[in-house]
Amino acid sequence: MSNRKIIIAAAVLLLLASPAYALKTVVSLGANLGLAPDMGGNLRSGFQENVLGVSNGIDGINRSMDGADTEKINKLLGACGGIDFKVVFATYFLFRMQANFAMNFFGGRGASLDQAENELKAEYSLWIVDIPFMLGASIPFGNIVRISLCGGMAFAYGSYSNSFKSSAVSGGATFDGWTFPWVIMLTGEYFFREDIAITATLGYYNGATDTIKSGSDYSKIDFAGFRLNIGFSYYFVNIGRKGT
Amino acid sequence: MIKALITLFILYAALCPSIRANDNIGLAAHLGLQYDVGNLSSLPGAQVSPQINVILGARVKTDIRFAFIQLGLEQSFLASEGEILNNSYGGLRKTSIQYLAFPLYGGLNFPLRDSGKFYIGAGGAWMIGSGYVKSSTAKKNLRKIVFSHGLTAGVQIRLTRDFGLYLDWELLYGDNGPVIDIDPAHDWKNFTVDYSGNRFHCGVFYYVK
Repeated sequence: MSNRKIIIAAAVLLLLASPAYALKTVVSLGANLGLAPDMGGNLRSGFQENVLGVSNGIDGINRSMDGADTEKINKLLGACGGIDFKVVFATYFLFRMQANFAMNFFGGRGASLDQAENELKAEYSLWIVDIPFMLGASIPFGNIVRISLCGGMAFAYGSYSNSFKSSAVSGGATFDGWTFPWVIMLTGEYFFREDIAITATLGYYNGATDTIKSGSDYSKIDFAGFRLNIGFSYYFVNIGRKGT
Repeated sequence: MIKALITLFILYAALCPSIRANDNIGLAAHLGLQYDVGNLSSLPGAQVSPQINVILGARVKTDIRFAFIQLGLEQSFLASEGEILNNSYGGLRKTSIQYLAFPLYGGLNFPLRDSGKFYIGAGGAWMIGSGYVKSSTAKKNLRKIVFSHGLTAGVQIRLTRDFGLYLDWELLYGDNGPVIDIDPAHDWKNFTVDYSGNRFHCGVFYYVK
């Protein structure tokens, strides 16, 4: 990059930053861990519909019969975590950016029956990386608590795998894809100190990839669902208790 | 079931000694609503008249500094049956799903100055499902124990020294195994009753301490 471009970029950044500082800008970094129930929605795929006769994926995969050794396949429950960067400006307004990872740790594995009533081992797994960008409001309640509501778009990348095996049929595929789901987050922050808060965030994502082909199978990756995260925020400028 | 309930009470009792002077214990009673019980509207191609349940419940909520733990008892009652109107999902026709639940949640409280609290938490519930599911050929009475997990968020407003109101949302995920055959070509059971869904509660809170 030439010196001229560097100087212009620096000048633009300074110009952008200056009104923000004039608006009493406060910046924080945080980290959180949580739960992502019902990850991936119903995880339907072409193989399940055409070969197994199940049109609603994991929601309809369970079948049982006297004498058959089946084991219930539960919906995916995921663990999630990430880091977040927040800018609170003019006391009440919020820009928020995060980087998150979610992966199933419970469910998605068991035994059902195929169309010929043979025992069918089934397995589902999913992991997601997402980076949401959001704008919203952050309302202080005294000096101890802030409640924030923000919304925006995320870049989300996911990898969904499934496998189905019985004595008569065998199938499985991995689908990788990305999209831009919309996101909304409701957060509570409780300030222990002027600059450190414990946080709880309830988030909702909505969006799915276009249909992805993998071999002869096809599916979508559905990012829709709720997440609950608990973590902390560190504010580089004091905002809690004696702050803004 | 009894073991599960004893575990719940032991967990709850174990946390109570850590209550301090500024912490609260409250008893609450609420009325709630669950729309689309059984999630029939998510069945592919189905045109449904969704099942609606009314919920009656009670809970004890303990606030320990910024954290809370609450244990409840809820019974849902049928307000209107669920029905597949276009007969599009195998032989499934009607649902009448109810349950008795023992929800346990923990999470964080965020005081709204002195006038109340906003809270977010996670937990689960032991549920005893009842009611029935009807297919074109059979009717299956439900009697299953389901463990569900979920999230909650709500607002609690203090009206007087002793009383307050609360409004909260609870999202539970849980289902039992297959209970009825809705596929005439097979002998298996292939319809799972889904207890997942949003519940909304509105109630009165009495501050014991």
